[in-house]
Amino acid sequence: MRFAAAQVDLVQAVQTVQRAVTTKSTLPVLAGILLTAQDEQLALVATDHEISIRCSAPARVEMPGSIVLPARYVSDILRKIPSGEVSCEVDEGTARALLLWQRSQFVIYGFAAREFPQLPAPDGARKLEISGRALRDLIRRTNFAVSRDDIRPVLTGALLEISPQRVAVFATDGYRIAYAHADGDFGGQDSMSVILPGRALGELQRLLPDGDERIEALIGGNQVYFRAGGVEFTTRVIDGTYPNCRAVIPRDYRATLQAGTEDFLAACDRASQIAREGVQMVMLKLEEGHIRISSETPEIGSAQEEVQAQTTGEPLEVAFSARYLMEALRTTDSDQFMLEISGPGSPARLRPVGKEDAYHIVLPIRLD
Amino acid sequence: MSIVILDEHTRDKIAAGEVVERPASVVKELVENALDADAKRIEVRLDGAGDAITVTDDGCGMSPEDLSLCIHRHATSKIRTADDLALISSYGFRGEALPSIAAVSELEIRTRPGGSDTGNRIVVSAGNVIATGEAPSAPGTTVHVRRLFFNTPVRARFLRSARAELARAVGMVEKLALARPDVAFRCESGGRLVLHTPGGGDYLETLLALAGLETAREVCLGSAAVVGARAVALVGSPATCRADRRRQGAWINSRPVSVRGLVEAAEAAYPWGVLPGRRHPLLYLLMSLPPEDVDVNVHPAKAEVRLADGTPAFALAAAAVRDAAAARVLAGAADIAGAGLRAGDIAGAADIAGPAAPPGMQRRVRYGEGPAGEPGAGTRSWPQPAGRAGHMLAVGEAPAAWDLWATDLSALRPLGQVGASWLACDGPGGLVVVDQHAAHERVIFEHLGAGTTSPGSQVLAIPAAVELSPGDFARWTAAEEVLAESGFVTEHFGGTGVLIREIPADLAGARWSPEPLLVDILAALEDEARAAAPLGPRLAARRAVASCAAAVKAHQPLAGPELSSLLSQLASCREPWRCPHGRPTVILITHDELARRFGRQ
Repeated sequence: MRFAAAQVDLVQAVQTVQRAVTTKSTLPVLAGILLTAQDEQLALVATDHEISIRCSAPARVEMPGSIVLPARYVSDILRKIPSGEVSCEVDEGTARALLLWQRSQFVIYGFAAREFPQLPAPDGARKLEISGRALRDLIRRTNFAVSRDDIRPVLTGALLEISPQRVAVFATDGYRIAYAHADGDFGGQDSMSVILPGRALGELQRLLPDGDERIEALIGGNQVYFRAGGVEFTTRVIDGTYPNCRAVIPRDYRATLQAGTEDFLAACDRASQIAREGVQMVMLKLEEGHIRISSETPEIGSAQEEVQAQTTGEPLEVAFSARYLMEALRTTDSDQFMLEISGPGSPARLRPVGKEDAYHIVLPIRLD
Repeated sequence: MSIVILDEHTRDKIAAGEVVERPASVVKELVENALDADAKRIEVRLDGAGDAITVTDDGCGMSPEDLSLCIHRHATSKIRTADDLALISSYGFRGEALPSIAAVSELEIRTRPGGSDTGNRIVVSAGNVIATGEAPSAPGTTVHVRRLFFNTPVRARFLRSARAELARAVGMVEKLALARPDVAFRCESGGRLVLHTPGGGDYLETLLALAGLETAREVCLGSAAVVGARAVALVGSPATCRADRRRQGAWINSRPVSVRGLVEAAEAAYPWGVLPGRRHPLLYLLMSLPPEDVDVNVHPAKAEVRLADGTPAFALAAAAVRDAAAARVLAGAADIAGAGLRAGDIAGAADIAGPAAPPGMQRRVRYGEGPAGEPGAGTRSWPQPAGRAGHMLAVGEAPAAWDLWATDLSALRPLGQVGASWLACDGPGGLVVVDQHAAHERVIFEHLGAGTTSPGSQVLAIPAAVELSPGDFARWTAAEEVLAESGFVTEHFGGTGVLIREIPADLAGARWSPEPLLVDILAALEDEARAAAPLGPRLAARRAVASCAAAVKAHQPLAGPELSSLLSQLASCREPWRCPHGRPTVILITHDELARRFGRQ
């Protein structure tokens, strides 16, 4: 195998796939990147068994072939060499690569390509087309709420509900629920749902183009394949039944408040500084024309904030975890938000005003 | 009803009530008599409910004349006139002890003075002499008390359980033994040897014998002196802290006493700042003060003394504590063994303030040659301790605890995780290793267990169903209510299933799922219920909730910010050094230890 390519192209490609490289696997070859030179292209692949990323860089291929090179060294070296052309000669028998640029030459020991696990071919019964930006936003507005404890594996993922005109995402760690949807023409005939790992969605979010450019997904029984630009991304699917989040949404509310997102967020943030670490509890008190946010910790002190708000219903007083409120507020994507409260021990709904494309279910902290 | 002067027996019984309240006070009086007799070995035997007490000493013994006098009120060998009261340096002086005991028990004394071939005995019942005469006896004195309070049933009824009374009596021997490391004590209770001290004169050795290795290695010794007065402090590291003050005490002129504010003043000098949550370290103060500064004639049992105005006692006590704390800096690991301060060092030698004057000859001790009332007017200077002031007991390896306690946990630099179970940190004293499980247990325990303010319970969006083992389910059934009080709201969910609806707000978070938390609590419940048996199942459950919360299990990888966060949370704990089960959360491997291991020392 022998090829030459521009340093910038190589750096970019390596950095793209490197997110799927794992050093924790018992399989040492997974700490490497599979490089395949063919058809005036260098293809790069990395996988950690949960996700895999594949991309390519333009290259002048003199002799096709493949090798696995340790990601860490390749990445570090490529970043440090001057821009310009880098050529690479590989002795596939001994799995050694010789990198040459200007008057330098480096030898890097790798693995034979056959040791790298075969990636499953892209397959899937259901096709989905969505703009990169829309999918990114859906992930950004929900993925923070997935659980990081694998006791209940389904909760470490987010639920994607896909229908021809709507893609909706639910994420919950059991303590709160984040929901967002996007409307459009997404192709396909039927509706289906799939649970994708939160971590995979996080990586996908980084790879997706921030534009109207359409990306393509193939949804299969145990994997989902995405293609965005020149990057192919595959993630495994989490098996199981996702909890019915819709059942948690209260049917009616005893009080509502509408306020400026920024003002409320800032006030909440300040008040929570006084709250006990770990709980970050703030009290919300609905009053005529405003909302009072307070917190108190015996050893630290107390805080009281007042934010202008339109309130309706009963003058309720409810405690919440400031963290859950703030995380929800940051992703309403709206100047004004609405908080609908159904009581001091019942779910509350937080949503943007003027848009129906997202909501959060936050649960109060019950005090006796 | 006309007024009469009470007969002698009644008077004796009344007086006895003041001196002899319970078995422990009998032990105290008898041991003090033995110490006044210059004993080097004292044996105390307690039987029954503490109503049978035998104290044997190898002291100077009594002549037959003294023997018959000693059971009479105000018969004492220790003072002669009222003026002597100002200069009391012996333990006893009122001449009340033996008659008081004799009035409320059956008493037998056997004694043989040194140099005499024959012994004598006297038997007294309820104050009446039953028998006297020659009797075989080892040199010294044996006082045998039986049927204590047999003739004062009311007093007897006020006694606590036999166990409690025995424990008090043993505690009294302990106090006396600690004050006199130069005397070998042995104490048997119900036929079991419960206490013995070597009598070699070393405070730390004595403490080691009394409190055990675990405690003794955490204790530091310090002293301070001015002309005429001296204080030695045995000070425990924060590991010895307890909620009560049972391991604190003051001795003045070898007499266990309580002086208002003295121990508190010493504790205020404790270098690790105010111990939050009102925890008290082991702190024993052994002071020798000019007798004229100490008014012991306040309380018949001499338990409470009053100090003269302007006494240096308070300042000295604080200084001794500071010295003890500084000692760990002075004490090189190698040279501390056996360098303990000796008894003679502190008392300024027993011949000055010690109560060791032989009976039969009242010894007047004056400070310097100045007129009475000007204590310490100058000529005598205190001998300096043979060792350096302040040493730690070197047992096995040099205890690193002191260096550790001085460590500011929040200032540690986390280096990384070891075996996914421990955190290695760079600290000023060396390598600090944190047990993440224990540390986290402590953090959660304090969050929950502090219990002053309930953190509230986070309602779950998605209630968590968990299938319990039959054992866990049984425990859940028993504890459901208490769990709910702690913020863990659960309900039965068919079979052995339980649905978790709310969990303590402290524990809510994406990192911790409610299910293993509940299972952990229930598992812990079994241990805790056993451990906390006398405290009741309620507390057990609460503590179980707390310790359950060991949510970051060993073998859970933690990332950088999580390491730092755990450290800072631990640092903010009131008692960061132990997990709720008493295991250490943090250990320190000192630079010295590292150097030694690498053969560089």
